[in-house]
Amino acid sequence: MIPLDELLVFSGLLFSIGIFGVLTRRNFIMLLISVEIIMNSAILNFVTFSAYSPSSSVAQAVSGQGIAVVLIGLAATEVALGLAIVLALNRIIGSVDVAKAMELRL
Amino acid sequence: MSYTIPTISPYTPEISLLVAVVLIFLLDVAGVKSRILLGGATSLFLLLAFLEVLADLGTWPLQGLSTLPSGYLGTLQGPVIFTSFGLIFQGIFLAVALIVGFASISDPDEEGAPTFYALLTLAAIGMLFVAVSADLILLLLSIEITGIATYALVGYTRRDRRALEAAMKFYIIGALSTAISFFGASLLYGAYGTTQLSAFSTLPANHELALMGFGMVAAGLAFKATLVPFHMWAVDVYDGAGPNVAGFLSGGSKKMGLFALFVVFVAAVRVFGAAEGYVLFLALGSLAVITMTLGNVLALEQKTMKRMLAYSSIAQAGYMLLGVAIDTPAALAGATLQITADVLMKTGAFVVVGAAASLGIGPLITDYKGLGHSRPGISASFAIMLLSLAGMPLTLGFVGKFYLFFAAVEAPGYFILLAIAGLLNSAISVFYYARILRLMYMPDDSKAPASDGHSLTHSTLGSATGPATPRWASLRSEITAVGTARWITIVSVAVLLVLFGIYPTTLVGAMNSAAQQFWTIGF
Amino acid sequence: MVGLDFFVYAFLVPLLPALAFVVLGLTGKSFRNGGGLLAVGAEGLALLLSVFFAYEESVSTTGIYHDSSFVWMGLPDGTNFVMGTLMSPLGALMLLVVNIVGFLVVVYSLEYMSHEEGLPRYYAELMLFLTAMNLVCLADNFLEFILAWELVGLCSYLLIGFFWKKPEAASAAKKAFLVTRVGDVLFFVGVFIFFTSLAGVVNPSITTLPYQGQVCPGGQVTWACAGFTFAPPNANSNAPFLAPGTITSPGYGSNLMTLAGLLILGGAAGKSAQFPLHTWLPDAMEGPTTVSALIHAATMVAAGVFLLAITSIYIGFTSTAALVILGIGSFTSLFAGTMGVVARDIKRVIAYSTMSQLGYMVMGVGASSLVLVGPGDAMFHLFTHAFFKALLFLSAGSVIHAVGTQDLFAMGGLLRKMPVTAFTMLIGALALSGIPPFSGFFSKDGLLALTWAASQHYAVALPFFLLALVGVFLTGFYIFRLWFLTFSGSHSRTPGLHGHEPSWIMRAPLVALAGLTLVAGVLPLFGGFANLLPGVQWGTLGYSYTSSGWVFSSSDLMVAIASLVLAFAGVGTAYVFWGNGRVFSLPENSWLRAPHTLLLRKYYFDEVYDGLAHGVILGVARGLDWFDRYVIDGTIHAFERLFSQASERGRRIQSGLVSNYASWIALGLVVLLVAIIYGIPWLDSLWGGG
Repeated sequence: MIPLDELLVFSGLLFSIGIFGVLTRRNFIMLLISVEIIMNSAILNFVTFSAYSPSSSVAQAVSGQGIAVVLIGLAATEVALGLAIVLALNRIIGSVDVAKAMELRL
Repeated sequence: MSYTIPTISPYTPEISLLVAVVLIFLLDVAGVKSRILLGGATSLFLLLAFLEVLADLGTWPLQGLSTLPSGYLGTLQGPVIFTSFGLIFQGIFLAVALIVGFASISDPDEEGAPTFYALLTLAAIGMLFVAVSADLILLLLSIEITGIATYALVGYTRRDRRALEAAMKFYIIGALSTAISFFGASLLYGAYGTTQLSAFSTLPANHELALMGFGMVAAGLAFKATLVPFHMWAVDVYDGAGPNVAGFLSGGSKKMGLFALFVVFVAAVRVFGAAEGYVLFLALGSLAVITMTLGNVLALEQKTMKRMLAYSSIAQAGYMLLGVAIDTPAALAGATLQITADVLMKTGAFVVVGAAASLGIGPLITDYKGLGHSRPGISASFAIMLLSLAGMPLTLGFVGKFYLFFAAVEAPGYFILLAIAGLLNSAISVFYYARILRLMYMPDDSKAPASDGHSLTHSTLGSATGPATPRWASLRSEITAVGTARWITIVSVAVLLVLFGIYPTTLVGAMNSAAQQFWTIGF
Repeated sequence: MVGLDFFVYAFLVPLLPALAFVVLGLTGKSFRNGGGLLAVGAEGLALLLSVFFAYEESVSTTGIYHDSSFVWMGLPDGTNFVMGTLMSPLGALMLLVVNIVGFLVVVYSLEYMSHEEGLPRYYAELMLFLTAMNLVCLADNFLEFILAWELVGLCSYLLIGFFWKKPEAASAAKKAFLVTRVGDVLFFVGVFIFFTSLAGVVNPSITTLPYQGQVCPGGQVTWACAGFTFAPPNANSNAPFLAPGTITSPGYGSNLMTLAGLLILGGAAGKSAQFPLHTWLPDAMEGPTTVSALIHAATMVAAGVFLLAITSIYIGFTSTAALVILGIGSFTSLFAGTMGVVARDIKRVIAYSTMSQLGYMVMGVGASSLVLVGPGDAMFHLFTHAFFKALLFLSAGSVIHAVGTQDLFAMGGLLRKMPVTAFTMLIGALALSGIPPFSGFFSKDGLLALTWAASQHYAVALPFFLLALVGVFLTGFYIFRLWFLTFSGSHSRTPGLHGHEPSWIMRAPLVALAGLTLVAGVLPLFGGFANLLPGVQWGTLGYSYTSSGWVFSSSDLMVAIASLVLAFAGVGTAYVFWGNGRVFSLPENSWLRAPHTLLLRKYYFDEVYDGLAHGVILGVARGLDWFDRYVIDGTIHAFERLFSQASERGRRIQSGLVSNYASWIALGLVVLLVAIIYGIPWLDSLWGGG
């Protein structure tokens, strides 16, 4: 079995990569992917903690895996809506670059 | 393993709204696009849900409607808990949805009406679940249900460039914050082994993990509650979205974030060791002060009405956060009062902006010049809302601030500093509210030329200052121009602000006892 | 509560005129005659209600205080602000006075004011005043009392300045407002002291402070409540006297109580035009005569006495305050009388007499606090005075209405032309002078006897008793000077002066008031009326009527005889100088010239106050103005600039690029986490690991 520490470090790395992506990318699709990476690091955490749960209660121990499944669904919903928004925006400004959408400012 | 099927009776408000959503979909399929029909049906269902919540609270004279078994109050039922505090917030959320839904009947008729009302109702359902969550995951999921509905609500027309840009910003920041708070939740799950809010009342073995988790959850919720520095999306989104949607975001979605902060940091996190608890509340207290100061200062120099209202809305969030930071039942009750007041005055103010747009008044603050003379009804109502926002006596805004600052003064420790910060901020805020009032009720240029140099504003009201018409006739033309539903909404919101401002006792009593119960019993 | 608790509906009494005020204020112009009939109707109903309530109060078997209130606003610390009505003996009596006089004055106005402009405003303001005054009578806590009291002051200001185009009226209104304001400030401070020092002892808060006596252990309401040790100052006294410093309950500083009592006296002195805050009342005569009759004779000015009466239980805590009250009252009664002797304006003479009579009442409250009985005697004089003073004013109004001048020396010989007015005014004058069997005699006699009793125990009070006796002489003198100058003689001193009786609309209130003046004096003998006057010792010529029957007191007889002799002497002297159309004027080189001028110029009080205002106050004001302009405004402007610049700069952070917003969120998250993770060890080290 993979040690807990390694899994946590892995999810921490995923989280940092996601944050880095959100901060540096200007392409909406890339932003979407970065946010999904952060989401996945959270999902991975839930599964990890579920597997290593010290709790004697089975219900508590497996609940992390259940949450993970729900979050995967949530992430899919989010992406669907995000793509809908970017499509509509692309139709109007002809680009998926968020730097092109800066009319609302100051 | 055995379990009992939970009774559905406490969920009647949610079920009512679900029925409303299905009904809207069916009407849409049937080709009904009429705003009067759709908006009327939605408003009726929202009103029904509101009355059901009141009945659950046991409020006379609706006791006959009561659906909530009395034993449910304050007892844990799986991931859901019904507390009177939560029920009060259900009522607040439904009130916002009702105001926005009813006022939107007067929006220009267009294809998007079914979408708008379905999304509005869905968002309301999410909020109702936020108010009764007893599990962190259900709490965050419900917030995200509302979130997804509101992202779509901002850009639902898919034609307006500004609205779409706002939706895009809202979406990205929202998704990021959600992801951060779920990451925090996963850390808490790791630290506690469960996500039940009741478990958070003790400190786990690995308390650094737990603290990081709380910090991340707080950051995610701070996005919804528009706390500085998680607030920047709010200004652009309120600006770009339609006025009614902006009212819904400011009145509903933001209050949901604040309520979640109350739940996590007042009811759940309670027996922290001295230092840990102190640091959390110190952090929240400074967040509150920074938020109100920045909101008020940045509101000073705004040129457009919506952005000014957006910053003032951010500042209001700072006041409300004091309820968490002070952490006494009185402060919690004061914050709830302030939230109730803000729901009325801020949502109402955004609805007024929509009404002004339908009158052909531009987005700039200076465009409101002379409105007081040409449109007496909505101007008077708007004036009441602004006075309430500034916290003037005889309005509900004063009552909320008074109780909040009173609680800060009464609380032990250095919380009086928070009260002083709040008072100073109120003083700053008077500057920009008074400026609008002066503009609205400034004497007409035609009669008395203004002595100061900058009277040459592009007033769109030049034509409105014609020969004096009888008062009732001008009021009638005002109602026609603004739209009956919108006009009724605006005026009743203003009347409610004054009524509750003059006689707040009932409201205060309910908030006090609910906050007391929530604070002492927790989860 | 037993049976039907109709006292809950006491709020209707102020509500009726309030509704009339709203209707008249909004739509007054659409009524004929400015809506006078509506005002009469509303006030008539209020009068009927207040008679009913006063009667029920006087025969009540469910205790004497009927409080119906609700919590208006509760604070988290348990303080509740209460609003509601309190039906009490004194309040019910005051309600009667206000509404009887109010109703008659509104009826009288129908004709008297009919030629004036701005009638809807007049009636609306009158209705607002009656609302406020009824609220004063019924307020069940100090907060509500202060609100109503302020409203009364505002209405007085508005009504004095009713003829706002006349500069004298405008300045008189301003003067009345400012001078009473001084008293109000003192009053508020006094209430605050009561609140803070009595809090927790008498009652938890200002908002529920029962200010008309209190419920003693055992449930019995008395004026000298148990719980305080009242030690008799000398063995011969059988009444419980309060010696300074004998209050043993915690929280009572005797000096603090004295101060609070004096501050409350300040408020009362402002409203009731007592020395030295008296200067506004004569000038207030610039308002319409009806207003003078209602506000500046019968009701509002009596509110000060009412305030003293309802707080007298607290003022009685220290004899010093009570003595000062007695002294101020008795001094004012004489002081005002001297100025009344020389005034030429018919309304001003009556105004001075009002000040003088209010002085007697204030003196009575002080005396009753010293003797530790209820302020019934003072309130009884307030009751009778309201009728005969309103009668005098309305009769004067009738004269002014007929002849068009207010100068006494221009009148004369009006007896034949206006017999009814002359007759009613005679009744009023006789009552004012204290000639039996008119009501003024009975009530004034009671006050003098009470003061004599007080001076038996506190020798300091004796000179003030003597001053009051001299005042009795002056009263008879100046009021009959007025009557003789107006009515006696065979012809008027101004050629072509035509007097005529007014129509019955104006005569009816005069006759009604004359009737009341005749009977009011003996009312305490009938039914439960005496119950409305706690502590009243109704008596005449030494005999007083108490619960145990008639009691004779030789000292009371001596007082009564002395005051009677003096009153007759005053009337007689007036006849010698002014009777039969004689006009007495001082010889050019008389030694009395200088005092005469002094009196005519009202002891130069206006000049002194003006000098003070110009010299000291204006100087201070200039300094404050400078401070305000340069220091306060400067600071505010500096802050405004600072915030504006901060705002302008801060705006630029809002770049519009969503990635930047995300960066701020990331930064916020990092700061939050660092603060939480590293803050805890830091705090721990700060607290030494505790």
